[in-house]
Amino acid sequence: MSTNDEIIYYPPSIQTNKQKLQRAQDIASLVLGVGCGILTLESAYGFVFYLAGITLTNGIFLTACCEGKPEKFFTKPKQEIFLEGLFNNVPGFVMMWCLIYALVKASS
Amino acid sequence: MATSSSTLVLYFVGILLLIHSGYSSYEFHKLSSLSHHSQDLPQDILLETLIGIVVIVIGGISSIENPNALSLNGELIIPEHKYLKPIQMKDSVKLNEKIGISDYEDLNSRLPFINIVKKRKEYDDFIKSSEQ
Repeated sequence: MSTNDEIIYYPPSIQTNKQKLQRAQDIASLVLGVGCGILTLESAYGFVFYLAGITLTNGIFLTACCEGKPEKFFTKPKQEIFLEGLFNNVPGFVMMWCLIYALVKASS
Repeated sequence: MATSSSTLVLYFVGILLLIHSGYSSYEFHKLSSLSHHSQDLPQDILLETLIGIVVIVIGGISSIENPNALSLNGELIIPEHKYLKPIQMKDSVKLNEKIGISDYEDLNSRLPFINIVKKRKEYDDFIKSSEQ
């Protein structure tokens, strides 16, 4: 029942691309947590910092890695790059934030 | 994923910047708690932290580069896309075709069934025959 217009995908490539995006977001969220701790941001400011930073990272990923054609590498580009993984990386961010905050403010 | 030297340099520089700004921030908070003057964090610590974050993020993105491939004919093949792999079947099979293998190479060549002892014996015999 397949027409000639149907696009055939190659699942291993989809998997690899998702893993690469995940890796970039992992590193970004941990480093943003470290930065947040060093700047000793508190409460909502920290989460605003995280949202801004991770969106910026996704933007860099979109322009640098996708070469301007995200639909060539992701089945649902906008959703996969900007929304998925946004909340999965929050725990890592909060972990580094708390750790570095405690180290920096330990004496005061 | 192989880590290239540029990635390692970026990580190193970024981590140094973060450690330095972190220690500066620690000193600042200690001094301000001793002197009982609460001030905002100095601008240079803020700037150093942000530069450190950006450097490490760039290092992280450069760490996902596709490695170069070596074809069966011994030619170096540079992938068409630097970071990601195309998901459409018609694009994604191009690289394997250039290298000269298929996805089912594991099944075709049966690598786990190679008789290593026999291969070594053949190689030893070859070395001995060439020495004479």
